[in-house]
Amino acid sequence: MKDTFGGSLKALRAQKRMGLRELGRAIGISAMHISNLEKGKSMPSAELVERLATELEGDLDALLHLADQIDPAVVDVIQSNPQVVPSFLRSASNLTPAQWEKLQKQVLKMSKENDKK
Amino acid sequence: MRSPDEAQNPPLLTDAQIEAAAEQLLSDFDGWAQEITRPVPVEVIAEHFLGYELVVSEDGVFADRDCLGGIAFEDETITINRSIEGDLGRYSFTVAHEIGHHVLHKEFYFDHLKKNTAKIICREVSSKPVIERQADRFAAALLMPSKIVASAVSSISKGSRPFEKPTTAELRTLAAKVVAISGVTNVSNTAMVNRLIDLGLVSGAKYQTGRPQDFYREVRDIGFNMRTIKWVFSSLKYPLRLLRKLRKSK
Repeated sequence: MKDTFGGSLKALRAQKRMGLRELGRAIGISAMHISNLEKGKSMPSAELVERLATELEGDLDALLHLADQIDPAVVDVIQSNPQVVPSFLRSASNLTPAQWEKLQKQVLKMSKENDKK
Repeated sequence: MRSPDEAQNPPLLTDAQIEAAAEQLLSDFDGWAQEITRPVPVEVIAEHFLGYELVVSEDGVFADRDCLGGIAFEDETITINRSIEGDLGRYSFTVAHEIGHHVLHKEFYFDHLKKNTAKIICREVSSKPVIERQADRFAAALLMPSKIVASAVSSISKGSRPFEKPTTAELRTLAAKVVAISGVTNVSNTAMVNRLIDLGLVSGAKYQTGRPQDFYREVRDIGFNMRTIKWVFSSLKYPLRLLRKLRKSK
């Protein structure tokens, strides 16, 4: 069940020992909406996944992936660099996981240096 | 058929037995949770302690707003009608009521009812067979533990018992104070008023909710039992019908 969005949501809620209504009230949606998400009857928006992940302290990226959604922050990066980012991603399509990790470290380093400036 | 027929002999349980069953469940839950949480978190008890799947729905039998909640023992599912989720008191009471069926009637269901009833035992607004009344009493006992309520009343009255023949307004004020002091904030004022009366913490109340239970409680207090009340009603039926006919003919 954990490999579905609903299953993961339910597992996270159980971990936090939260009720359906309690969670719904905490993030401003109905208990039935939570119930439907858990049963796979509906899928959430990226924004809702973010609220759920924050409330339940879940892994945002993993939940977004299960919900077939993209983090709005990622969409912002793509939209503000409409040529460079898609081109970069296309050229990186055959990278290995190890190379992705190396690349990510490099990007983080550059990002930190930019923050210092 | 949504609720079992009374003729199927549900377990005979006294109020004291139902109160004890609710106290036991709460004590087991507090031990499991390793903390005492008030108001009593009935959703957590149903789902994470007892292992039921809690669902809020408006589909199937729950398209009928009168079916407030239901329990399906085989599927280990408790379903609450969407129409009441905005009302914390009703929602919590319905979840607690379904927990009551689990504690009091699960065995009875599998032994006697399974063949003759629907998979879901529904909590309905209008229908109150014995097992529904038992589950209601359990729900009240679980959500408003007698010791907590009595202690709150005692702190308000400072040990004395001034709550005799209160008016409806006085009763409602007392119930609101008890809710605030006891921290049992997930119940309605009406539920607390009924609890105060059921626990005998007020007497001679002229409180009327308009529910059949008020009438039954009053006549029971006088000393009649249910069978007598039903007999009185059935024997009055024919003369009343005759009277009505006579009036019309005039």
